[in-house]
Amino acid sequence: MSLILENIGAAGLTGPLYSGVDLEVGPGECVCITGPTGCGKSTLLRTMAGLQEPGPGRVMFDGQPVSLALPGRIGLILQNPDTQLLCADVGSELAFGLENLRVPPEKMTSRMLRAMSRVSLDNHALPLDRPVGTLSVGQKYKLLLAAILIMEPRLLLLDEPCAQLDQGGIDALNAILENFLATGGSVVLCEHDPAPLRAIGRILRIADRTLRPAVVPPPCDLPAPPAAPGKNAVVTLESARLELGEKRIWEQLDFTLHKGEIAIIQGDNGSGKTSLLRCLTGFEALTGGSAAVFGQAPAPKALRGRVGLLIQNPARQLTADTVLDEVSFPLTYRGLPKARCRELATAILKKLDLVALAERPPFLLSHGEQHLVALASVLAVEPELLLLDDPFVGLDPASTARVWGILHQACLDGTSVICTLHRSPAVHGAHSVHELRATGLTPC
Amino acid sequence: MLNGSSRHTTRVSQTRLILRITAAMALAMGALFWHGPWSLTALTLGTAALAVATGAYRHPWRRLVLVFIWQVVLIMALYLLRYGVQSLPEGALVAWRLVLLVLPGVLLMKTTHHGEMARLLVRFLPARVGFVLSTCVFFFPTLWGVTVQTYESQVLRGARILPRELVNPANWGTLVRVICLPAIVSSLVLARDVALAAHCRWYGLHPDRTVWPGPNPSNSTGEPRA
Repeated sequence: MSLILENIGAAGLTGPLYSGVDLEVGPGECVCITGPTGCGKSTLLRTMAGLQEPGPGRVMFDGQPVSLALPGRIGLILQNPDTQLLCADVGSELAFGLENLRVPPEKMTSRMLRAMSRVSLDNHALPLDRPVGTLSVGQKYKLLLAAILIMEPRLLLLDEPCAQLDQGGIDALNAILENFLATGGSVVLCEHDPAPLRAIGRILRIADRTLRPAVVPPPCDLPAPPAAPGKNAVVTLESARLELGEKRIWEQLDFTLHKGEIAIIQGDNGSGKTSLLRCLTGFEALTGGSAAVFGQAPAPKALRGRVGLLIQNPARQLTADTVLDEVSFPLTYRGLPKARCRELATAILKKLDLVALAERPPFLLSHGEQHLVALASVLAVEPELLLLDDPFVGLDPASTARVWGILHQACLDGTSVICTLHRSPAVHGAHSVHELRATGLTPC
Repeated sequence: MLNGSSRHTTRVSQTRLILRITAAMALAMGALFWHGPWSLTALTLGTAALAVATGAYRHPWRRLVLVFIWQVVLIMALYLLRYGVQSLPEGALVAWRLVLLVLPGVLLMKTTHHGEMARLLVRFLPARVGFVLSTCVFFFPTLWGVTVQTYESQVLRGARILPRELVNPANWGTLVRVICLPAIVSSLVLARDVALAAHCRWYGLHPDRTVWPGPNPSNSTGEPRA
């Protein structure tokens, strides 16, 4: 069994992505494809799965064109498990692929239990009638893998598998991939940072519109954060406790953020990081303890224009026709004339080195560029406090370094920053790192 | 205000769910078409019975009541402006009828697990239509969560779209621009991703599919047998 790519090419909305790509992946081999954001890694994976035209070349699997591969032999998993789990409970999810392949129902349950065992999902703790919505992100990814493995694929294609996983999820993924490779399966995956996945045997990089051999990139150098922050407290949490329904999310949270300080709050999937940010903006009420932002209990109306919130996948909030309009739009809330808004927006774009994109439609930009534009539009209102929810997901090292540069600049201007992450960063440019657990916030 | 907190739903049998849906539809249709002398009293009692039967009274209801109060006040204000003070009782009756039109459906959605609803749809509709509808229902919470996040970030950016600010029609354009349009874009992106995910698992390979656990489920929970 092998996958062979010959002279593959593809074009994006703004021009060619890559051309003349040749690749062979043998049994038991795990290949990682890296490259800058928007270079065509996902497109290449979809071409391997037969979902995208291969350009002038061809994709062969098991000695025949990939379009003729036996159903179930190639398994493709995209980045976000939430949009790929299609059924209400674990059993229906696992059965979905088998139902499509017309496997008799009486043969399904044993295959389901076997697939769960392959990804270390305990059937006693996770019965087949368990609702999918109650699973953690790590469990969802394992379930998705089981739902693919149940169809007995020989080639697994994974698009940024580490993007949503915490350290526990990555450890589990490593074990699953090693078992799969040991049975003669092949894996091709896209990842910005291959370092956490020890199963990877070969690294390739899309650069200069072609695919080249590469090595594990060293962690990018980030400048140290600007000088020590001021003494004025911007955010204060005292013995904060949060319960959602009957579930206690966290308690005994004590935390202070000073003016001009950048703090990272790191926690596993489901630890309540997004809920913490909602508490700080007043959209969620604490169950106990107290929170103060700018010396007052947080309330959305009072914090408007003073706090900037960058949500996960911020590209979703881009709606204007051009980047300049996107950045100038929030300034119109201040009642400034349109010309003045555009003038101020241009100044912000210059400051963030984004002025070259000013007249381009945001939806035609790469993921990394969209991310930076969304950040620029949040910074346009000059917030005193910036809350960033997992801002580096899907960003390549260069874009990550650029975001840190922007944060340092904002910090010099007196803005304080809280940045939540689901994994401990190898390098960072923050003043402090805290780990969020159910029992409190611990400085790292 | 939009609420991102999880729903408190219970799992019910398909038969009970069918009864609930039938009752909710009958009550809503009654509010729309039955204008007899005791109609509002009967429909109010019927809706109260539905609330008790579904256990809706155990759920957080303060925000729901606030929304309906706003609706009643708005309709009565419109009657006052258009027809004068003498029309207020009539306005109140119309407002209450509208509440009775919407409330059964809201009670049903608040107390029913979306997965149960999806499973029911699949049973009664053609396979493909059932899959599309159940997927729409199933992914509604995901889309709602994204919309709530967008709403909160836009409020903080300065958008005048807090509930009280939306009383002013001048702010409705902002709501469309910063919430509704991104929500439409998000739903299109989500639809594309879901279709791709289904395609990756060979949905549509054959015109018909087998169905697990089948007519005689052997072990649908996966519990080990004695």
